[in-house]
This record gives sequence, C-alpha cells and structure tokens, in this order.
Amino acid sequence: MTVLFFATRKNGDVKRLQREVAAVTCSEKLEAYTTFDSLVQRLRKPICHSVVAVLFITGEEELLKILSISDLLLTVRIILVLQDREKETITKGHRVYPRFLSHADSDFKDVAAVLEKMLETRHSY
Amino acid sequence: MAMANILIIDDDKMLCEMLCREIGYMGHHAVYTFTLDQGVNEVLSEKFDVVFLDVNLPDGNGLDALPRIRESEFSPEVIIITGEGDPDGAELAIKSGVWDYIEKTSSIKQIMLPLQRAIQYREEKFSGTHPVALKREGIIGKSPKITACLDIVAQAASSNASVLITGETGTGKELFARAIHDNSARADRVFAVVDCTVLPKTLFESVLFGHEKGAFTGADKAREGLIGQADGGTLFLDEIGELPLSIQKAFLRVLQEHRFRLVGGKEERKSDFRLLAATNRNLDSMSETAEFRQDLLFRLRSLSVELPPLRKCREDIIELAMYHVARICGRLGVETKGFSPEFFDALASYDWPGNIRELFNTLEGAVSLAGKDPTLYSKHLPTHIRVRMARASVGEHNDIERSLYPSGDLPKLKDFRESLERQYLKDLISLTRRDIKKACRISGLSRSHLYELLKKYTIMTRE
Repeated sequence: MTVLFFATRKNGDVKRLQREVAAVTCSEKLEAYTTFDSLVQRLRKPICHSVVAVLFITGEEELLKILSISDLLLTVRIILVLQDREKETITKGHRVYPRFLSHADSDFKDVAAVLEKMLETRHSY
Repeated sequence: MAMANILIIDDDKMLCEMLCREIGYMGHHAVYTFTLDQGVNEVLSEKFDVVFLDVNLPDGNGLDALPRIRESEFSPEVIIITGEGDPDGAELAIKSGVWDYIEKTSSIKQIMLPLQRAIQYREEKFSGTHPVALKREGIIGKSPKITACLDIVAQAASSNASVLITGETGTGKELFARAIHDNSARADRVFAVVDCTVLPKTLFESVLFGHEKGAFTGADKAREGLIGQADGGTLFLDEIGELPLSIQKAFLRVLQEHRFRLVGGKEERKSDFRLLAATNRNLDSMSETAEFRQDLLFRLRSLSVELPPLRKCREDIIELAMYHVARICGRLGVETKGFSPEFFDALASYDWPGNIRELFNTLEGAVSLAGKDPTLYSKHLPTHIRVRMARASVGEHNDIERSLYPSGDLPKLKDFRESLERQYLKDLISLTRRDIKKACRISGLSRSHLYELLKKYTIMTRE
C-alpha cells in the first residue's frame, strides 16, 4: 500500500501530522508532495496497489483545487485534514468523500489510529 | 386511473379467462398466453405494466424467464402465480425483484389486491415524481439486475426512508449510496461518510456524536461529530456490520428521535439527517447471534438494495471495461486503447471474486503493462485470469461432448441418430402440447410419418 502525504506548507501543524503519519507507515511506502502539481502528476501515474492519501488543506482555494481533481482520486482512500472548522469548509470537505475528516488543531492521534487501521484492513483486490 | 395493460402467462385456460374478466371489471386490459416463449415474446414486443407469471409452464419454469422479462424496456412488474407454492421459490422470486408471489388457491380478492398496488405503484413511478434521468455517476451497466437496483435507487431518492445496501466487497455500495443522495432533495447538502472499518473502537463515539471540552483526556476543545455535520444531508455508515454493539444502542436512539448529545454534554441537539448504510455482512445472521441489534436492523432497512456480484451480471463486463479503460487512459494522459476479442473473452470467463474493484485494478494493471501498445490483448492480463479462460474453453468443449455422448464413447451413427430423433420428437410433442396438426406443420412431417415415428419411439400423444 502506498501512502501519499500532501501539504503545501511546512508549519508546526504539518510537521506534527507528518510525524504521526510516518510513525505508522514506517514499513510502508510514504510519498510526500508539497505542491498541487506534483500531487496531480503522481495521481496520473499508474496505481497498481491500494493508495491512501493524507491531504492537509490550508485554505478554501486549495480545497477547491482538490475538488477539481476528484476524478483522479476516485480509487484513493482519503484522510482529509482541514485548516478550520467553518460549516462551509466542512460541507465542501465532505464533497471529497473522505474516509476520515480531521482538523489542523487536532493532536493527530486520531489520524494515526485511523491510518493504522486502514493499513491493517487493506483491500485484497 | 389510466388503463393498464396486463399479460397473463399461464397454461390454465380457465384461470386466464377468469383473470381477464376481473381485470376488465377493474377498467384495465388483459391478454394471455399459454407458453413461456410466447409470453416472453409478447413482453419484449409490447408495453405491459404487469405480468402474471405461472411457475410450471409446458415449455419451462417461469422463474427462469425473469431475467428475459426484465430486458423489456418497459420493465413490467411481475406477480408470480403458482399452483405449487413453496417457501424457497417464494424467496427466490422476491429476491429476483418480483412484485408478489401468490398461490392460485388464493381468493380472487387476494390475487387482485397486489395487482391493484402494482398498477398504483407504476402510475406514481411514471407520473414524474421521480427524477426523469437518474444521475448515476460511475454506475455502469444495463443488465436486468443493475437496472432493478437503479429502480430502487430512484424510489429511495424520492423518499427520506433509511436504506440498507448489501453486496459482496467491491460491488460498488458507496457509489449507489451517493447516487441515492445525489438524486434526492438533499443533494446540495452534506454526504458524510462514516467508514466503520477504519474507526478504532475508542473513536466511534466522538466521531459520530462529537464531544464537549474536557469530555475525556485530550478533549481540549468541543467538537461537532458527523451526525451534527450531516444535519439536512445524508449520513452514510459504510460497513455498518462493524459498528460496536455499545454504539449501536446509542445510535438507535438517535435514529428514532433525531436527537443526540455530544459526549460529555448535557444538552440535547437535533439533526435532520437521512441514513444510508451498507454492509457485506449478513446482518440477519449477526442479529441471531446477538452481534447486531435486531431493532436497529429493522430501522435500517426501510428500503433495501441488494447489489449483485459481477459474476451474476457478466453482460455488463464489456461496458464496464470500456468505461474504465477510457477513464484510466484519460488519467494517464495516453490514447485510449482498443480491445482484442480474446481480452473480453478472458474478462467474461473469470468469476471476479473481488467484483468491480478487482476488475478495475486488473484493467489498471493491463493498461500499465500494455504501455504504448494501442490494443489490449489477453497477454496483458494476470496469469490466473488467463489460466481460467484456458480451462473454461476446454471445459466448454467437454461439456458439449458429454451432453452428446453421455457414456463418454462415440456411439454407432444409427444409435446416435435415433437418440437425437427421439429427443426431437419428445420436444416437439411437449412444445405443441400434443397438437398433431401443429406438430406436423413445425416438423414438416406428414401425419402418417409422424405417427409412425411416435409409435417407433413409444412417445404417447395422449395423457
């Protein structure tokens, strides 16, 4: 299974999240993307195994960009981390159909626990 | 009420005439046929609203004809009417999507009531209360089984009832859930997914209900849960069979009252969410062993959609493959690829235990392996699928040989010819229901020659 980690900023929240993600995916393939274009390029490459994407979204514009590539994310299981808790942001976030939704002010223990379960219950096909 | 068109497929002439008369009194039009073949031809060539279908017909079992009847563009409702009702047959019929299963010994009122309901249902269905064109993003296929599921999607989309979607892993349960939401009045509101397979037990409660500040260690701020976020929209519990028993009890209350409390909270909150749930597990068996609450199960399946495994709708495989190869090629930025007939043969001969998800992954691998090749050949498929195709082709050949030569050895030509002739005459007499004039016309034999052959093979012309 491949884990794609996407975050365009490198602030404290992102570093904390990346640490938690790395801790549970040490034996897995973890790929980090820091620009939207590099993420798109990766998603345009063949995906022959299960893919989980952890997306740290820093604003509405970035969320809209992710929504614009929903076709590329159809077979990807998404953990979405949103910057704020505004109702509108959450509503838009659900349009990405995340398997789990978290927020930047979380301690990310929840994200790590969910990701760990995803890695345990990977699809056999 | 508009005049409905009814077809009766039954070899009991008296019953047919009696039903026609009663249906006429109701202000509708009915016709009847005595054989399955004739009946199916009628269904495929004319518009019928309801079909009364007998099970034991001279030329076959009515239940076996259900898929062909479903192929009709008007997709009539089917009411099974049988002289020999049995619980297994009734279950099979209902699972095949028939409207009702009734015995001929029932009173005329008991027979007419389901007809009245079916006509009423069709009137509502075609009166414009459902979306004219169903948005079916990513749901591919025209097989009778998928069409029947889409009918339920349309029905579900126009109501607020809870829906339970069942099916093996990889059959597309979430796509159907999204289709119900996208076609409903809640389409512009939240569709919140609760993936019960990935939530650790300790997270379920706070993820679903939310929590107050200080409710537990680490709860440094109050959080809204998915039930609150789904207010006005749809809450989709994926793989609900994994929902812990302790949460099932609390969730049942929310489902009944649409009221909930945050973990550690005192105030009750309201959420007007619509519930959709999916599972690949048998919740009935789970409720028998107390792993799943029966009262919650009853609440969940006001409506239910049972998605077929891919091996049960093989006719959709080519369309699915073409759609997804075009999508994969579009994603990879390469010209879309052609298909060799053997490639499709291989896809069709495999059983797809992982269903559509396995098919997609296989196609992704094939496109990747093909590289710049413009056409997909069976060599681009994984070995286990090609082996299956090779074995199936040998098996088919053997099956034909076995039916022609049951003993396994090649018989003498005279014996072989006689056994075929005997079978032909048996079929002829059965098909024509012992009508010698008709049998002569079909077979091209003279009356005396036909009698001579029937005598030779001791085939009775009268019961």
